[in-house]
Amino acid sequence: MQPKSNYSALARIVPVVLSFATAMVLAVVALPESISNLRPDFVALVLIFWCLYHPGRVGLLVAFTIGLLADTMYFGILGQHAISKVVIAYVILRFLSDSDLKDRVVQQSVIVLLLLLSNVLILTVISRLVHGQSGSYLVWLTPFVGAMMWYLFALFRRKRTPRRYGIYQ
Amino acid sequence: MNDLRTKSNLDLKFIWFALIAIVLIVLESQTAMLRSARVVISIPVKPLIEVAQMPANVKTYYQNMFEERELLRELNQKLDEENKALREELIDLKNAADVNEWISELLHASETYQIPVISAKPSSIQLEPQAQKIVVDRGSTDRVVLGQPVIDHRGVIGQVTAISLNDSAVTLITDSTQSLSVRVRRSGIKAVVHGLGDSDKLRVSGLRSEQDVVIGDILVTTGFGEKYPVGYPVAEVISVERAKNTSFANVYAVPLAAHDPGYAVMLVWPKTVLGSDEVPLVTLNDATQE
Repeated sequence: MQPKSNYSALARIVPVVLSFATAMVLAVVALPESISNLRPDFVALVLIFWCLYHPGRVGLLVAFTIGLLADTMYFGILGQHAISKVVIAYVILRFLSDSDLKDRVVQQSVIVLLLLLSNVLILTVISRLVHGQSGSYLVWLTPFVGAMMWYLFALFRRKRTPRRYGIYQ
Repeated sequence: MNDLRTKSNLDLKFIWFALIAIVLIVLESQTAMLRSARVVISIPVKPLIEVAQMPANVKTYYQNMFEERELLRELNQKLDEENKALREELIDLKNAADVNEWISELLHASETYQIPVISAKPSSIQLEPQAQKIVVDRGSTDRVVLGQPVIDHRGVIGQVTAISLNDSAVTLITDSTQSLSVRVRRSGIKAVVHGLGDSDKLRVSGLRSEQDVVIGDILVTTGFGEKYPVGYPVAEVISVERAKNTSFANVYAVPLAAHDPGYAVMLVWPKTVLGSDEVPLVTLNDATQE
């Protein structure tokens, strides 16, 4: 869990910041309508990645801050994404940190699916409580798209770096 | 032992953050306290919004560059924009004229009626897919206020529902949280238009089966609730269905001001000169008939 000495603080932080920034841009960039409605919560996916692979770099504070920034970026209810992201980070760091998931692409994808579904559930419940209604049911498809993307990503990652596990912690 | 402590620390932290988030959500939904907080938090996010708009900007740029008659095109665009601005002004002028006429006629008062407006450019970014929302490039620095109506040269688009420093989110009338009071322009009958979350369909409620409404009728704002200015076109009736067993007609309408990223929109500061008196509004709507 301790940071490697050859990692400077900056080198640890920059990828985290860049990846979250990219995710937030992807979340709002203009896409054709057919794809636009199906895009998964990229911010949640990036958060899951950091929590699973580099739990030392992100914590609940990062998850909360990113969620709050996302709330302002999407002009949504302040606190909505903050709480859903904190829940994701908490579940992974608290209950999944001991389990060795790094090689298990399918298990990972199932966990990602469940996390993304709970993310959508929290967001839907909050907007229902605040606005008295929730959006289209199409949003329930996005976790499946996200899990599929994760599956491909994890496969790719396993193929590319078969022997480097254990170096990154 | 140590591991156990880290875990209970994490539990504690989780409870704290969850509580803070819940307090934020409650404050946000019940009070206006977080408006300035949103403006502050939006500052680091602004560059990301700019970046997210780049693909659309680049696309427009190259489209323009590869156009053969580039100069002509530019000129055309300029004239088009001017034309739109003028037409938007015309709506205001017509309204102002109507109101002036009405005031001098019925109240024997000489009050000038001007609607302050500011033009804004819709951004290309897409918010949560299920929400009928757009972002425009005016924010708290332009003194935009919550609930401010947004219109274009064709009619009402929606209202401002969240404001950051330089941008604000406009919830379209087609969003399922939105409903507004309207009047059939031709007959003056009152009704309510509800968003369905569908960008080209609105439900019209409150019209009884025997009331005079036909396909093609234009619905205009009544100004009730002092949210929207009076007499602005909202929607056109596309279907009227009168079932025998109910006393209300099933009416659907299509919004006149469909959101289009290419069009400039106007933010309006409504000045409530009319109050909520019902009778004059009928007169006004009769006056705005073309």
